[in-house]
Amino acid sequence: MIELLKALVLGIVQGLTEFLPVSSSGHLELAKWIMQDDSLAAESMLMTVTLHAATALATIVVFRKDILEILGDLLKFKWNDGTKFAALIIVSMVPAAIVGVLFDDVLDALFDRQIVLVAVMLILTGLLLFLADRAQRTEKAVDWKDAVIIGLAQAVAILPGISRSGATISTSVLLGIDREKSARFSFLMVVPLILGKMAKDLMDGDFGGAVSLPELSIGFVAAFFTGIAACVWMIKLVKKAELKWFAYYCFAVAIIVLAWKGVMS
Amino acid sequence: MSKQRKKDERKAAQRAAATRDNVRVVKPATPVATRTARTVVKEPKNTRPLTFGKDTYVWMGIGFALVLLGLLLMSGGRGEDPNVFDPEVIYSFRKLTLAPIVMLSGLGVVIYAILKK
Repeated sequence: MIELLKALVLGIVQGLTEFLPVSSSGHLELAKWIMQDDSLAAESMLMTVTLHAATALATIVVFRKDILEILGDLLKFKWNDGTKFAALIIVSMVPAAIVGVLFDDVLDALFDRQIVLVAVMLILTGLLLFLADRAQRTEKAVDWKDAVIIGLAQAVAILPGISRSGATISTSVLLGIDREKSARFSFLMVVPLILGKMAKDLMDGDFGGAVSLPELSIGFVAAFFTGIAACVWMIKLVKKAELKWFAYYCFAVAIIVLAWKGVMS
Repeated sequence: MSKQRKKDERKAAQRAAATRDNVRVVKPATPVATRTARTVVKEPKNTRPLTFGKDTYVWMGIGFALVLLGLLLMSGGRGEDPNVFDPEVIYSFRKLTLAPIVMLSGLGVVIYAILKK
C-alpha cells in the first residue's frame, strides 16, 4: 500500500514539475539534503520512463492540434510554417542534447548535494520569472536566433534549481516572443527529447529497481492527468503574466535553504 | 366573374407587381416559438477539447495492451536458486530487445491514437 501511495505521489510531482516552473531536480536535491537520503534519486528506471511517457503524452494531448498541423505541413515536403517550426524545434534541441550526451554524468557528480548552488539557481529562476511577467506583450514568433538562445536556456536548465519550463518560457518572453507562442514552443521542444531519452533508456536495458505493474499504472495515470491540468494551467498563467507567484515561491525556498544552511554550519 | 375570382386576380396582380419592383412579398406570419420557463431550448454543449472519439479509445487500448505485453515480456527471469546467476536468462533477447521494442511500439500506437483525426 505504501508503495502504491509513493507511486501516486511520484506521478503527481512529475506531472506538476514537468510544466510548472519550480525545478523538479532542485527540489529532489533539497529533499535528499533534508532527509539525508540518497535513495530518493534511485527510483526504478522503469518508473522514471513511465512517468516521462505520461507527461510526454499529456503534452501531445494538449497540443495535438498544433502537432497535427506541423505533421501535415511536414508531409507536404515544402518549406512552410510547419516545416520551419519543426526545424526551429530541432535547432533548439541541439544544445541540451550535446550537454546531456557529453556532460550529464559530470554534471550529476559535480552538483550532487551542492545545496547552496541549488538555492542560488532557484533565485535565478525566480528572477527570470519575475522579469518575464514584466516583459512587453508582442506578437513576434520564434526565429532562428531565438531558437538557439532558447535551446541554450534549456541546456542551462540541466543545473539543479533552474526550471526547464521557467527558463525557456522566460527567455522566450524576454526575447520579445508572444507569450502563448513561447509556452507552446517551450512545451513542444521537449517532447522529442523526452521520447528520445525514453527510447534510449529502454533499449539500454538497465532496469535498476523492481517495480510492480499496479505501481507503474498508478504513477502513469497520476502523472498523465496532473500533467494535462498543469500544462493547461501554465499556458493560462503565462498568457496572463502571472508567473510572479512561482517567482515568490522560488525566492522563499531559496531564502529558507540559505538561512537553514547558515544555522547548520 | 364571381366576387371571389376577382379578389384572387387582384391578389395575383399585386404579387406580380411586388416581385417586379423587387419588393419582398410578406408571407403570412408563422407562429414563433418563444422561450418560456417550460420550453427552454437546450443549446448544444461545446465539445470539450480533451474528448476523443470511440476509434481513438480503441487505438489507445491497443497501444496500452502492447505496452503491457512489453512489460510481461520484460518480467520473469528469477532463478530457483538465488545463488546462481544465469546471464542467458537475465540478458535474454526477449527481455532486452523484444520487450522494449514492443513497449515503444505500444507508445507509438497511443501517440497515433491521440493525433488521429
